[in-house]
Amino acid sequence: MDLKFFGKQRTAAGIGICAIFILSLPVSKLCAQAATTNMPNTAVNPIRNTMETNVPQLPGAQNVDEKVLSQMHQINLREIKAGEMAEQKGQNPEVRAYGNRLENDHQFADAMIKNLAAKDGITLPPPSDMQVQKDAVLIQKLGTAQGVEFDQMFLDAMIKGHTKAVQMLSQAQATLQDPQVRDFVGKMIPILQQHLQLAKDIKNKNVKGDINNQQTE
Amino acid sequence: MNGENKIQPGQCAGAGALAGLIAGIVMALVAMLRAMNHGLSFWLPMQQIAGWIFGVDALLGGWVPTTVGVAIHLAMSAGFGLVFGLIIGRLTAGVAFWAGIFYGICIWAVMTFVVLPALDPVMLSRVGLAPTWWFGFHLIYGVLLTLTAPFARAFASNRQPQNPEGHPA
Repeated sequence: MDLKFFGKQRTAAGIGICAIFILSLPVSKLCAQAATTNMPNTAVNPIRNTMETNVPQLPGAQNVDEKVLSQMHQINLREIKAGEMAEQKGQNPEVRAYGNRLENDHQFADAMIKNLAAKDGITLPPPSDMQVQKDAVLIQKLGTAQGVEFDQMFLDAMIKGHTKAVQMLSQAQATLQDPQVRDFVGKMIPILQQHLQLAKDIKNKNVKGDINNQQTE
Repeated sequence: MNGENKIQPGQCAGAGALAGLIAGIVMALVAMLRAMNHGLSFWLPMQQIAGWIFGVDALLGGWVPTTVGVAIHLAMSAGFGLVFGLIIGRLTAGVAFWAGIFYGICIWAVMTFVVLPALDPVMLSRVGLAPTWWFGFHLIYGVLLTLTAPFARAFASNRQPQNPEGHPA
């Protein structure tokens, strides 16, 4: 083997690699732009240009960025909890796998939100009493349901929750002030749309069949 | 450049494919370890690749999308390596290094702006969350394609006809 290169040009290669990595930072932003602009976003586009926001008011929230980050944080906490329950209680293997995917993705997203909030000096406020109550009702309902009933209730809750989340973020995106928060929200919308699509797919593919099987038994 | 003319195109292609395969394995391992380190599943990068075939359902995991994702990744890695080998297989490792980096960046650009938007929006949305890493994975692949040059020479020296004294002709 020709190993001459590894001896004589090692230093030059090292410098070259460092230079390319440094130069790659602005270039890689193009990738992020492609990810947000090339995504098929037909469900969102009709409302994307709307300037009116539908972001729920939170105690202590100062501006739109803060409200949106706080709302996303709360969505993450709820989805992580629901995902954990689905992993443990789901009857259908795809429901359990979906719960795992939700848990992982929302934990990852929440870590990014905390980083953004820390960078902007935002303290994520605790959820409003109304939100806590709504989440508690959902978790309680899921906690008491079993088998196919749980699967159906969980998927319905995920379809409803993700539809609302996508709508809320799409409306809020245009009004966000911090470009990094706007960029992050733009990247999260397709992920939430994937979660929504998965919930619909699983419901159509499996749970309806499971219900029919249960009825015929 | 002694002996360059003795390297056959087939040897260049084979060396490129082998280097591409090794580079693809290293690239995948780095991507999967990074995913695991961020609390995501180890196999998620491979399942994202399988999104091309299975759509969003690939994200549910399971051995089928994971295996398909691995197969697509390795096939593409070897394929891109083969083409690289045919282009630069006869050149020195120094040239191969810089050509590999350029080639890796070209692959990144084609994947990001042409292939993923057209074929795998599931993967596109997720690589968009870590664009610098996504770019870095392709640099790793490109740098490791440097192995093409020594592999091609090794293949050529192993295949050279022997004279009666047992030395290469």
